[in-house]
Amino acid sequence: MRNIDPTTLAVIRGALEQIADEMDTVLSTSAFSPIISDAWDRASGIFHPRTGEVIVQGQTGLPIFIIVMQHTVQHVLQDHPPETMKPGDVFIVNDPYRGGTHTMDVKFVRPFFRDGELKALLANTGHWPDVGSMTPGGFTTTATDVYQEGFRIPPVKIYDGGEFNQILADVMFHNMRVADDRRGDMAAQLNSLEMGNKRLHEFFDRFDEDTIFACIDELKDRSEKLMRERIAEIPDGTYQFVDYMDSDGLDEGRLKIDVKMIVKDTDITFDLSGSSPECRGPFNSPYSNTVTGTMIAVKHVFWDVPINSGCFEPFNWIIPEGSMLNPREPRPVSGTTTESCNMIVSTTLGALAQAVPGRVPAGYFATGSNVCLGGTHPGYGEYATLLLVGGGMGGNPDGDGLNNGCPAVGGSRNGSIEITEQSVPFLYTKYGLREGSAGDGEFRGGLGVEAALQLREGEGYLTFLGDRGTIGPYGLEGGEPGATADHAFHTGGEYWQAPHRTKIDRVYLRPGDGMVVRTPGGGGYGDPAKRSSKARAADSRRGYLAAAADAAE
Amino acid sequence: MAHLIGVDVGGTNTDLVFVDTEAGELRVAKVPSTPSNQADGLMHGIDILDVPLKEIDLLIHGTTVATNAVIERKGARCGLITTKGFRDVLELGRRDRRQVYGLFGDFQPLIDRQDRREVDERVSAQGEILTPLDPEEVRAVASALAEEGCEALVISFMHAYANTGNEAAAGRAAREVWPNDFVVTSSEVLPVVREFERTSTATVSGYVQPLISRYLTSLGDRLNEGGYVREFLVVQLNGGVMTASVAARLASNTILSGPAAGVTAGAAIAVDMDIGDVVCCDMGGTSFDACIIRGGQPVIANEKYLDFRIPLSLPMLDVDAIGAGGGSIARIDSSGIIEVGPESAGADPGPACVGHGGTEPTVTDASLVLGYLDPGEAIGRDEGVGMDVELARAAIQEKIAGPLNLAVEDAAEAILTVTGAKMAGHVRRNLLGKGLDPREFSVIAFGGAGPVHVNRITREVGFRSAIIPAYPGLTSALGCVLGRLRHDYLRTVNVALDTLDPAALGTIFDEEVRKGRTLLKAEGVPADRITATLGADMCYAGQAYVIQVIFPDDEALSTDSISEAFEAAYHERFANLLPHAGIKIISTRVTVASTEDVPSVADLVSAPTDTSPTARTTRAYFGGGWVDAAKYRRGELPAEFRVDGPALLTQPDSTTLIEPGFSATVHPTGNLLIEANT
Repeated sequence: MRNIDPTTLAVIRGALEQIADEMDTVLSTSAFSPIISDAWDRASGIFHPRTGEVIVQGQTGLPIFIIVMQHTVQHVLQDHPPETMKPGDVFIVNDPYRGGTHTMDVKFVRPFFRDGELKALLANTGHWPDVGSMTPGGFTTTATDVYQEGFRIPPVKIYDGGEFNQILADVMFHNMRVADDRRGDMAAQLNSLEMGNKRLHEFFDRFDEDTIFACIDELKDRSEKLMRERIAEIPDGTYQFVDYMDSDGLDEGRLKIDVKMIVKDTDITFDLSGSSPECRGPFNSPYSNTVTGTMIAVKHVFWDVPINSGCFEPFNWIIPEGSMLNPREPRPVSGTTTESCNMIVSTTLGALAQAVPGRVPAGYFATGSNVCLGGTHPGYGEYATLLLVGGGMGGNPDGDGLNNGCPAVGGSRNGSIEITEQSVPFLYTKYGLREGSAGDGEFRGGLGVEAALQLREGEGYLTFLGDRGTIGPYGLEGGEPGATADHAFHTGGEYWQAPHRTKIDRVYLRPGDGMVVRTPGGGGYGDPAKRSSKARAADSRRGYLAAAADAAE
Repeated sequence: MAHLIGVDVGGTNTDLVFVDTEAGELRVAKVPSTPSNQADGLMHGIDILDVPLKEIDLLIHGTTVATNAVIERKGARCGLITTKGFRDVLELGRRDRRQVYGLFGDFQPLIDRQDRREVDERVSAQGEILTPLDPEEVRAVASALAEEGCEALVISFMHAYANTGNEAAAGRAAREVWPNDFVVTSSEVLPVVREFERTSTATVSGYVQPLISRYLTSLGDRLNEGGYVREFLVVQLNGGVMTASVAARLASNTILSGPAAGVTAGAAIAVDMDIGDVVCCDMGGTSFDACIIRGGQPVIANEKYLDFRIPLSLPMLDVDAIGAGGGSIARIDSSGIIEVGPESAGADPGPACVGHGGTEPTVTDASLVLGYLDPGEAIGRDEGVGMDVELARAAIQEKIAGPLNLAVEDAAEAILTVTGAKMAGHVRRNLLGKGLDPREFSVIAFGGAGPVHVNRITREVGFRSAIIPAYPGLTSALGCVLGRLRHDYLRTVNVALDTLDPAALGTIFDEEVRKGRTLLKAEGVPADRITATLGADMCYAGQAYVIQVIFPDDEALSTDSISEAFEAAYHERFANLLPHAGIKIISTRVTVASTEDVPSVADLVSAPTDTSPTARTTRAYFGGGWVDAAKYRRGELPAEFRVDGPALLTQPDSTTLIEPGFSATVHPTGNLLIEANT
């Protein structure tokens, strides 16, 4: 332990968190895209100037960015070593293979200088609704390489010593749909970095620099120590959990996610080498995305350990190159966040459930179930929108799982149906709980969602990207699994299943055509025989159990 | 109108002010709240005020009955009738979870699924009736719900804001068979787009209506028995007031009325001092409530979550709360770092120093240890409740100072530093989120604990100056008597400006204004004392966030005047314009209010001119050491008197702390102005 006054440490921690939170606030309130401003699909942080390690990250950023941002910053440092950076530089990068997720997450990194010396790196990320992929919005299910997934930017300077790189911006925006909105999002991200830069100066004005860095080191050490204390509670051993994704959207065959969690003293190694090799379709998970998936699971269980680079120290990863969890360029990756990452989190939680029983809920629905609608209409003009659908959370020792929860990788709320019906020519005929979808147990899973929608006028295209159509979310301690996803499409009055069950690209729709989304329920926790008669009576009174009347008939 | 009583019932205390506008007299009282029946504490407080009820012209009441009913799930059993296919909207919410990290937690909606029924009907987003309603089906469903034991009925149909036809017909049909008046339709409460938020708001309304109705009726009876004759008024969440009989119908408008009254008072006090841009900070026992005031007008919000998945979407003062108050508990977190709140010692056992068995160190304990409070004076309590410094020291020593190997005073100072940073951070994010610069604002701090911490908040946020009202601990009660009868109406129209028919928009505004005027007249306001403000929630096409635009009242509504008003508001908020984007009017916004006189605080409260204050000396701890600090009784300070920090200004309802490097000047209005010495 360093000789730091406890008050100063508390104040410095608070001040650093405040700067990152203010960066988040400024980003989401000035962004143009609803997915950043309303759904908060963004994150901000402050990073170490040499190592790129995360010092602090905003508390309202999405979980999926908890370690991804550090990897992004480290890739920027790899290409642009600290000694080459100068005041007024800002870097931009969205390459999934340079510390990224999917191409839609666009990151900016800005060096922070004091008296000509590099003292920190500020960074943020925001989900841009389009970066010019083959499918509007980027959630394609049939891409066969990353080039089809949009304009890919390696770590390059968008500002060079204060000079704006107009050529880069012109080329970039020329390759994206609705580019004016993207300019607005970029301005918001730059704006947020500017604010962070200013606030960091005030922070350095207020505290002595040696004290600041001593505190940063101390906070890192304490996070690491706390994480190690949590790990020490876990008996040494190997805890393994295996689950499967439906397919890669192109080839038949399930994708295996195999998480082997090896606990030794206060270290954990995640050995994912038993997982499937890289796939042809867009469900590969770049290395950073995979690592973040395991850490999200850890953070959901040990939620009180503060996020900074210290809490990652006890972890190691074995993910062979060429695995679907560490694919090689140019494998496609667009399903990596909402599907593959959720399944990595869910499977890691399955392993953790054996290691710390009682502290992990049964399996959650673990699929983003993205419905992308697009087309042209005489009244609406050209339109495109992305609908988010929730599902059941897992039962747990505290009680039943939550109905219509948000996936563990994110925190984005779904939009309003009335607003959707105002902005695209679709009509919902149902939006409700999916009866009978919960996994039974002493504490049952939460219910999934059933939503039916159809095109009213004109013609349109529907792309669906989801998973969990073959294996339902797992039960724990004797609980039953939740129901699998069960989506039905209908065109020309005929109902049909997608060949890949949960994935289909650009279904052509005429008026009356549409789909019924049925998302998985959560897994049950504990022996169903132990469920109280009172709870069973309430389930039955509420109609939670009855099998859903099949809208397909 | 001469004799008024304002009553604010809070979680811990019931605060009362008596005002005689002719004599310019103001009297105050503070009694413990009585949660099982708030009327008991209220009647007790009136006894303490010692004013015969028959001499009271008007009583104005801020109540937490409705708020508590929702949070404690003690409202009525309600039935809900929805469009076929949508009975679960209320339960599904917006696909969220209780916390960012951690996957535990369930949710019980205010209306159980067994009491939610569907009827065949459908309206499109454009307001076309796609499926007509069969009133007979509604009567059958409503009868069944009533028979099964539902006391109130809520009806919420898809797109009812765009065409109220089906929903209104359902309301009529249901009322034919419903055994009481407790029938709520979503378009009456909030004719605004977003099915979940509208249904939730209508549900909250139905859920609290029977309770509020009974409470207000019984309180009215007790007041009448005591000799009070007029109908009393109830504070609304928009800062305005309404008559008790209207409140019984618009029951959800009484939610969050206490904090709203405080803001009303804060705004009036700041305006009296010619300060228009100010942040109201109300710090009581358990929470810290902040609201931004611009140009003398509190910022209006459209939505607040009362609990997980329970939004209330009504035009309301934008009061944002965090768990930081005098009772907030200090602890050492799992990283070994001092943290404060959100857990609170509440009223029972309360801070360790009050000696009711509390052993957790609180913010109040820390303030006491540092000499920032006078142990002889009562804080936020009746006269006579003492505070024991040794109990406070013991709690801090055991839980904080000992484990961290700190002196008790240093631990106490750290607790306040962390608390101050939390509150300041909250205020800063609030301002930044609205595109505002903290340095252009002052702060007005009240509530029992506000004046102790105001100096710290001022410093941390970077405010220009700080104001402490004359009665910091009774500001919300004072705000009750300052509110005007007022009703706000939001209605979704969803039109693009380039296709707007100004005449059609004018018709909508006329209807809304007429609705408000009719209600105000029924509440006794003369027709020539009613004013209407027109505005809209607008955005550029494609944006998710709307901004509030007020239309100029001296100009006829035209596409140009609306566009100008929007661009001015947008530019002020975002400092830019999007010249090529289309502009949309999402909802109309109408405020109809009485212009009848309300008391002026400046007429009631002023600083004495002929007093000569006595300075005593006390010891207070600042920056690691004990120093001498001047101590004054606040009531003895004459106008223009200046006190240099370090100093303590004591009064029964609060203590104001002035740090070294700052000074306080008594403003002629009786309020204090604290500024950094230059």
